[in-house]
Amino acid sequence: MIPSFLISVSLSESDRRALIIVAIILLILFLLLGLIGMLIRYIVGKQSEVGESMMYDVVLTNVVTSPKQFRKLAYKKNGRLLFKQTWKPVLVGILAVLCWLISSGVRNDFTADVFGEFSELFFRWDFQAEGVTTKVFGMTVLADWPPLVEGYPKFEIGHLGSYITAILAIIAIAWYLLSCQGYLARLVMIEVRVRSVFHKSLKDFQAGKLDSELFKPGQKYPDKEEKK
Amino acid sequence: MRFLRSFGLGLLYIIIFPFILAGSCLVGVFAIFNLVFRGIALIVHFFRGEELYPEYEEDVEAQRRIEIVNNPKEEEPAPAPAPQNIYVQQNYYQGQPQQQQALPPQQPQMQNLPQYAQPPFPQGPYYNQSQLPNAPTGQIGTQETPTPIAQQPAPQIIQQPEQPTVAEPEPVYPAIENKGDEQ
Repeated sequence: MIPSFLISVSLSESDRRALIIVAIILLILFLLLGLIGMLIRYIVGKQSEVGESMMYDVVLTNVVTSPKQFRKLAYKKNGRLLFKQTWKPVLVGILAVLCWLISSGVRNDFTADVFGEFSELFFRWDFQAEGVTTKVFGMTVLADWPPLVEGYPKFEIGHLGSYITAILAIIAIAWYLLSCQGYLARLVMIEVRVRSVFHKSLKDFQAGKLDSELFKPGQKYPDKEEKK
Repeated sequence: MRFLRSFGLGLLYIIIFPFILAGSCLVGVFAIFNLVFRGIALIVHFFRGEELYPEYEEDVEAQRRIEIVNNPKEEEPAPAPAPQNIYVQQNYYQGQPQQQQALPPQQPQMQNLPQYAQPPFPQGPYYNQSQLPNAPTGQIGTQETPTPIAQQPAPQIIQQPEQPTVAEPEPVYPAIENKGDEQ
C-alpha cells in the first residue's frame, strides 16, 4: 500500500492496467535484450579467436618478430578470409535477384512489394486501431492487445516468387553482414594483439639488482696482495 | 555471478550493437571491392594453372620450423640387456615330500617377473598341513609341524640365459599443433 501523502496524482483503472502491462513488457524486453547481447558477445568472441589462431604459428615460431610484420601479414590473411566468407552470401543474393526477375517477368509486374507480400505468411497486428494505445504521463503506451489485420495468415500461389525472393534476400543480407562483422572483430583483435604480443615492459626490472647479487652479506673476499 | 556478469556485458553489447552494425555496413562496402579484386586475381590464377590461394612465405617457413621440431633425428638402437639372475625359492615341508612337487605350471615369460618366481600357494612356518589334498588325518597333538622357513634349505640360484627384453619406450613429447590453417 502506497502512503497517501506520496501520491499527488490519482490513478484510474485503465492507467493502473497500462502501468502493469508496461512494467511486464519492460521486464521481458530487458531479459530478452540481455540474452541477445550475450549471444552477440559470444559470436564476436568466436570470430576474434579465428583471427588469433591464423597468426599463432608464425608468432610461435618467431617468423614474425615485429609489430609491422605482424600487422602486414594479419591484414593480408584477414582480407583473404573476408573474401572466402563473403562470396557465398553474394551468390545467394544474386540468386534472389534472379528469382525476382523471373517472378516479376512472369507476372509482368516489376513494382510489386516483395517483402509486403512475404509478410502475408505471418500474423499482422494493427497497432493504429482505436483503443490499442493510450497516453500515460505524456507517453504513448500499449493499452490493449491489437487486432489482426486481414484475419489469419494466407498463402497465395501467385506470390510464390516473392516468398522465395524475400527468403533468399534475408538470408543473403544476414549472412553477408555476419561475415563483415567477423572481419571487424578480427581487425580489432589484431590491433589488440599487435600491442600485447610485442610489448616489452621494464616495470619490474631493476638495473641495480645484478650488482647487489655480487655483494652478498657474509661473502669472503680474497686477501689483498702485499706490495713488494 | 558469472551469469550476471555475462548478462551485464550482453546489455553493453546491445548498446554498442548499432555501432557494430554501422561498422559492418562500412566493411560491407569495402568487402564488395575486396570481392571484385580478389575474384579477378582468383580467375587469373585459375586460368594460369596456379594455386587459387597460394601459401604465404611466412606460413611456409613456420610449417618448416614446426616440422623440424616435431620430427627429431632417429634414435640409436637400445643396448643389449644384461643377464638376469632369477632366484627360485623352493619350500620343503617335513612329512610332505610329495606336495613339494605339486608346483603349478609356470609360463616361460612369467619367470622373468619376481612376483611369479615363487609358487602361488600359501606358505609360512605355521602352514596347516591338513589343508593339503592328501594331508594325513591325525589327532590333535600328533600333527607334525612343518619346519620353519629358517631351517629350510637355501634357495637355489638359477642363472637364466640372456633373454631380450623390451626397452622402455622413449618419452614422446606432444607435437606442436598447427593452428595457423585458414578457414
